[in-house]
Parts: sequence; structure tokens; C-alpha cells
Amino acid sequence: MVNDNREFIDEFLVESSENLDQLDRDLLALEQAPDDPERLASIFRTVHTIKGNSGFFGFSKLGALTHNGEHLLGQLRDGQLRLDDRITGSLYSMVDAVRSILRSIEATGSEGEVDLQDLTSRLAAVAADTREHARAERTVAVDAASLTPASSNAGLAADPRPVLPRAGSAPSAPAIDSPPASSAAPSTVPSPPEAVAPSPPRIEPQVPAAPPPPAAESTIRVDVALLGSIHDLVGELVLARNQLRSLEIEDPAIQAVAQRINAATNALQEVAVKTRMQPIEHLFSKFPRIVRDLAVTCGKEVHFVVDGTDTELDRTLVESIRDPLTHLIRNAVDHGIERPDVREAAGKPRAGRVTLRAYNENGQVTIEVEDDGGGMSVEAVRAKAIARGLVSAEAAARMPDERLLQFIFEPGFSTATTVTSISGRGVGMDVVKTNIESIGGAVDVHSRSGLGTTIRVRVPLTLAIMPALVIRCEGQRLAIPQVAVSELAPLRPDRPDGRIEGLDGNPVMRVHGRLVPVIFLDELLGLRERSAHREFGTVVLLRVDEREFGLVIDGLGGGSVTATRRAAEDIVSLTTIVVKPLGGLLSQIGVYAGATVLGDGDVALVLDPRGLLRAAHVPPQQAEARPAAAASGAAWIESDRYLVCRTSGGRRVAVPLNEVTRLEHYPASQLQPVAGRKVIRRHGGFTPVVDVDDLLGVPAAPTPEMVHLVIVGDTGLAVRQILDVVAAESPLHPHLSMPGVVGSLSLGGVATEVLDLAPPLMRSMAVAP
Amino acid sequence: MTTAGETAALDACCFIVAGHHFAVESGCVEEILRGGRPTRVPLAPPEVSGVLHLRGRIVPVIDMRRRLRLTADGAAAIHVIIRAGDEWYDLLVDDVLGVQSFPRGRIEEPGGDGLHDPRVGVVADDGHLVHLLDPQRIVQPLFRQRTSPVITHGASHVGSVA
Repeated sequence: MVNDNREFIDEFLVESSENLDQLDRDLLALEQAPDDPERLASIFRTVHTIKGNSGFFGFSKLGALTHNGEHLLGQLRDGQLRLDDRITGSLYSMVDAVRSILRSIEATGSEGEVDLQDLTSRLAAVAADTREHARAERTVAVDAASLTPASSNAGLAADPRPVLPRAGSAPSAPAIDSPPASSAAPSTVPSPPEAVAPSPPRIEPQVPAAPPPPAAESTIRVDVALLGSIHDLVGELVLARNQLRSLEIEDPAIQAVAQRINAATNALQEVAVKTRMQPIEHLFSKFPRIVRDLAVTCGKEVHFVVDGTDTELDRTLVESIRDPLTHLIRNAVDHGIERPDVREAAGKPRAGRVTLRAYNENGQVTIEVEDDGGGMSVEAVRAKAIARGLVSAEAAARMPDERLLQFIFEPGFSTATTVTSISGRGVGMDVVKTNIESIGGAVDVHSRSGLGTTIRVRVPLTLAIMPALVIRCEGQRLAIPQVAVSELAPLRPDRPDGRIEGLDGNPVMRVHGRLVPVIFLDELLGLRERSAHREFGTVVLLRVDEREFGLVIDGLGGGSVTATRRAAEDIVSLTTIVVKPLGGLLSQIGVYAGATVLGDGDVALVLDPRGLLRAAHVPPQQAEARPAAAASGAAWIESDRYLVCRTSGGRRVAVPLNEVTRLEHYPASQLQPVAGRKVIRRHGGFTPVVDVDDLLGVPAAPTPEMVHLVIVGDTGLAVRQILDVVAAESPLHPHLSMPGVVGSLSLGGVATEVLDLAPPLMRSMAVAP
Repeated sequence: MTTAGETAALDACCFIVAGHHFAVESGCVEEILRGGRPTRVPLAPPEVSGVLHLRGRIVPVIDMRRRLRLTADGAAAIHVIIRAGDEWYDLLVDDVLGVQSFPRGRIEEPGGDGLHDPRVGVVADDGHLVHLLDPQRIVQPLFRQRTSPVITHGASHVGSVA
């Protein structure tokens, strides 16, 4: 029978799963307003529908369970029982049990081995308790009446949004003394499953099957696979349209037809994208229940606010953000919100607030998880980051708080035991980040100690169709998603604004007074030797996760390679591409987001700007690259003066002048090796000498005749040449992953790396060469 | 690999790489193409000579000479598109001989079973050996070990939801 009905059962499963979501919502709402008759009727109908269907398909366990639930609900509806924690708990358990049975049916076709005897009898027992309950409820009601104004209702009045319930906060209702209706009799004993079939007939006429919501008239269910093939075909059509457009059509009649095909394709594409869209409500609707359960488990009071549920998102993306969002929300309740007594002591309302908010911004969807809990301690994060060697103490001290907090997304940042205020907060945050980034999204954190934390997730609306810039690199055409492109600039070695500096270390380019790291695409992709740096070309300025970098390419061009060669050098080629997945084998390379078919039928790979940053090991910058004279936060660096030196490798490096105690010169012969390190005898003692090349992790050149020492603390830094003392002209751009360097800034109009003088590093370098 | 209910013979698509005979079960072959202009994929494993657009999919082209560590003169130009799991791959081979039926009883275990050996059987046919290849095993060694945890998502696999 089961197999014969597979198609119907599938439909039943889909419908039931929606019904269960509705049940969760209704139950949550019912807790706020236990006497809402419409809510109760809706719950009753839903359970009744599931019961009816399970009877039809012969799922006896499901039938027995929902029968008992229905009975209990009937008593609630008829006013014989009033909702309390015990009843709510039983109803939630029932919903969970129904869900697990449905899962089992979906997977195996049968109800599985779940033992429901316990739950079934609990439901029956709760229902049977009517009389006793009515009495008990009265007492609670009295208590509630006296409690209400003082505690939760005070807060409630100010804020109309739903608050997770506290026992007895409901207004008292007229007590019910009438005996239970005789029809309740069957439930005075736990109903065995067999008792289901003849369900009390009195219910049937009273309760029509769930009336379809008005929307049902205008919507139909469509198989996702079918939608998928429509999208594929629209994609093919868009490609053919692009090909058509690239043809030179003489005949005006054909031109007109091509125009119409073009317009229709554009419109069709827009509609097709819309069919992929789903209101985020579908995803958000699961969270109130999760928050409620977690709050109960943790002994916390949480006021959960959901906003912007009508924001739409590609349904495949909805699935991809489900787990990361769940994690963030759990974190907010579990680790963000403090216990009620702690909150009271801090002068906050007992109930914490967690806000889940979605909105559209710049063609992306932003989702925020905000809590008004304890916030994260920047100091704790700083200490932790230093302890884990993610940043030097020096650099950490200078880092803006916002930037420091981003360390919580580093892999394993808080797996170790750590300061209480952040413990657990970072668990799995790296996984959240990885998952969000894998769909082209971004995540960042803002937190103020004592006031709360906001985690902001940004994801693209859709991955399938997007405007992109088609570029050329060593004869290969590649596409860059336009959303990441901020500017195009020609490479001009003759002008300070178009020149690439710091070729040995981190190449950077000056853009509007900012120093921006530069990636040579040909080099990164292994299409050209590292030594053969180009001087001319085009730089595409990209911005991802508030980080800016330049990508050096040959030029732009959407036509075929030969066509663009004939055409002018720089043809901006912005086109709509249909992104197709590359498959597991090639996505593991990490720099491609997919592939697309160009107008001439050739395949072009779509670059993933975030992947490029990762692959090129471009160190994270300050969150906001500020112009030199801007924000006051940069003042500390502008007043600084630096000693600029040259290393034996030819690099320009700088040391903050206030760190330098003396400049001295010695013949190299005076350097003495002691216990595997070099020291120099000066002022009657031995001073360890560190070659700056060692510090930078490059092989040391042969020692010259004269050694120039920059004395910093109790160590001498050996450099090849001391150049000048210069005032900083730009804020420091921290480079986290470069050994020996805290960052770079502009000194005397040239990008210069600033040495990291963190004493522990100095000592360890001096001890172990 | 034989279970009850299967037929006594295995239908396999036979092809030649550097003078050797190979075959894959014909059920997993989607299409055979001549020519084609793969787009190269920088940073791809050396066995992957590019990607090809086929029926709406982007298919990685696996150079079977490199994959099987064989060398030959001239360019291989026949594409055997196969299915391995959910994804399609394009095997670039020297020549395709067609579908042949091999009695299962005659298929023997292949000699070596190195980690990278895609062979699952050997059968003697008409004076030469035909090596039976397993699609998954052809592809598997090309995957690198993943280091970061990534939740699999169907973001761009629109049509894969059954």
C-alpha cells in the first residue's frame, strides 16, 4: 500500500512539514496569548489534518499520537483546560515526535521504531487532568494577577513584539468549573493506537478541513528540478542571445527580430531569476522555536525579534545559510545574552533581546543577528590573538577594535579555553565564515563590551546570473563579478599614481592617496614567471569584505581574442553572464567561482575575488583604508617619524624613530659569533645583533665591510644603509602574515615596510638564528 | 562487482590511449565528441587539460595519456563524456572503438592495485588486453585533500535536486 501511494505520501509529507512549521509558530504565539481562540482553532485544524491523513495512509502511530494531541487541543479550545507549561511542553513534544515520524516515513517509508507509548500517555494524562487542572490553574491565575504588573508585563507594555513567556504571565481567565464534556471520556485511559480509527465523530462536523489560505488559489507547487531545467534553458537562451548580438546584422528585418529576441530574453531572464527567489521567512520561521528551546535550556529570558522576513533570496542560497545562521543565533542566546540575574545587576531588563533582521542593500542581502548581551571583550580577543601568534603585540596594540574582533573568525580561535566573556563565542565561527564565503558572501562582527554584539552576514541575491567584467590575461579570457569591481586604472610607470611599488615584498599601488596591495593575475595563475613583471597594463580595483586590492591584467575584452586585438586596447566589456558550476574537481582550486559561456561560445572562467586574495596571501588590511589626512584615529601615525633604511636585499624598511636609541657603525670583523648568534662588543658588554634580512625571513647576503647598526632596546639591527628620517604621510596598513613586518606606509612618497620590533620576536630571533 | 540479476555480459565502450585498449561501462557514457576546443584552466591538476561546454554543463577534460602515465605522438582529439557520481567528465582519448560485450566470467582482477590505478578489471580480447576503468577511480586521485570544513551546498546545482 505504501508503495502504491508513494506519490500521495510525498505530497502528504511536504504538506505536513509545512503544517508542522505552522504549528511551531502557532504554539509560540499561543504561549503569548493562551486564550486566542483563532490560534487554538488553527492548531487544532492542523493537528486534525495530519491525523486524518495518517489514518488514510495507515500510519497508526502517527494517528494515535495526533489523536491524543487533538483531544487535548479540543479541551483547550472548549475552555475545559487552560494552557500551562506542562501542556505546552507536551504539545511541543508531540510536534517533535510527529516530525521525527515523518522523517522516518520519508527515509524508509515506514513509521520506524519510535516508542511513543510514553508521550501518548502523557498527552492523554494531561487531558484527563481537566478537573484538577482547572483548580490548579486558578491558583496560578491569582498569582499571575499579582505578579504581572511588576515583572514581565511592564516590559511587555512598552514593547508590543512577542516575548517568550514566563509561567503565569497570562491574564487570568474565568475559571472553569463545569465538568468535562462526556465525549472526553475515551481519554481517561491512555489510548492504545487501535483506539484511533473511530475518532470521536463529534469533531468532524465542527472542524472543516484546514481551509486553504487565499494565496493557494494563485500558486501551484512546481518540482524544483523542473524549475532547474527552466533556468538552464534560459541560460542557454541568454548565451544564444549574446551570440546573436555579437553578429553584424545588415538586414533591417533580421535586426528588428534580433531586437525583439533581445528584449524578450532580458524579460524572461528577470522572471526566471524571480522564480528562484524565496522570502527569507521560510528560513526565519524555524528560529523562534530554536530560540525558545535554547532559552529554556539555558535558563535565560529571551525576547526574539524577527524583522524583514519578506526579503527575498535565491532558494539555493537560503539552504546554504541555514546552518551558519542557526549557529549564530544559538551563539547569541547561549553566549551573548546573560542570565536574568546578571542582566538585572547590570541595570538591564531581565529579558535579553535577540534580533534577526534581513534587508536588501547594494544588490546584496544583509542579515544581522544582534543581541543586547554582554558583548565581547576586545582585550580578551587581543590577548588571545597575540597568544595564538596571529598578530604581534605591537601590531595588536595599534589595531582598531573593529579589526581586532575579526580575529574570532580565525580557525580554531576559541577552541582553547579562554576568557569567559568570549569563550564559546568563537567556536565554529571559522566554519560560519567559510560557509558564508563559499557562496560569495561575507561576515563581520561588531561588538561593544556590556552592550551586545552584532554579526552581519552579507550574501548575494543569486549566484546564477550576474553582471561581470570580462578581462584578458595572457590570451585567456576571464570574468570578474562586477559587484566586486570598484574602479579601473591604467598602469603607468611614469606617474606616481599609476606605479607599482615594493616589488620585492608586497607590491602596492597608490590609489587616491591610499596604498593598495596589488596582485599580478598572470603570475598568480602561473601564466607568467614572477620575474617578468609587467610595467603596462590595466589594474582592476576590487573590493571584498571591505578590503581593497588591485588586480593587474592585460586588458579588457568580451569579443574573441583576435577581435579584441584588432580593436582598441582598452574595451570595457561589461556583460551579463550565466554562471555555471565548475564541479568539485575544479572548484577546489579556490580562485574560480564558476565558468560561463561567452557570446562566441567560448568558455570563460569566473574569478572569485575572495579566492584571489586568499591565494595571493594578501595580508588583511585595516578595515577601512582612510586617506592620510582623514579620521582622527590616524593621528597617532601621522605625528610619527620613521628612520628609513635599506636592507642588503635592497628593500626599504622603516623603524619608528622613538624606538631607536642610537645609530652606530662597526667594521664587520667586530661581529662575533657566540652560541650560534652574532653579538658585538660595545660599551663594555655584548649586544646581540639581528640582521634585518633574518627578521624578514629572506636569505642574508654576505656581510659587507661596515655594519650599520640601529640600536633598538638592547638589540642591534644590522642594515645595509641608513637613508633618512621621514615623517609618515599615510596611516599604517597592517600586514599580518608578513614575517618581521607590521605593515607598510608611505614615507617620502614611497611605500615602505615598517619592521616589527616586538621584543619577544627580537629576542627569539637573536637567540635562534 | 557482479550481483545477482545482472546480465552475464558487460557492455563497455572501448577506446585507445597511446596504443593500449581501455574500456568504461557503456552505461556511464553520456556522449562521444570529436574535436572540441577546451578552455585551459590555470592552476588545475596537470591531468586536466581544460573545460568544455556541453549541453549546459561545464565539463572538465581529463587528458587520459597523462592520467594513465602514457605517452604517444600526435594530439588526442576524441572526447568520451562520462558520468561519475553527479558530475560529468570528459576523457580525452586517441580513438574510440565502439561498444563491445564482454562475458563477465572472462573479466579478471587487474594486476597492480596502486592507489592511482583506475583499473577494475582486465579482459583478453582478440589478441590484446582491454583494461576496464572505473569512472570514480579515474577522477578520485585528482581531488586534493580538503583542509577547511565546508558544508556542501547546492548553490549552483540548480537541477540536481531530485
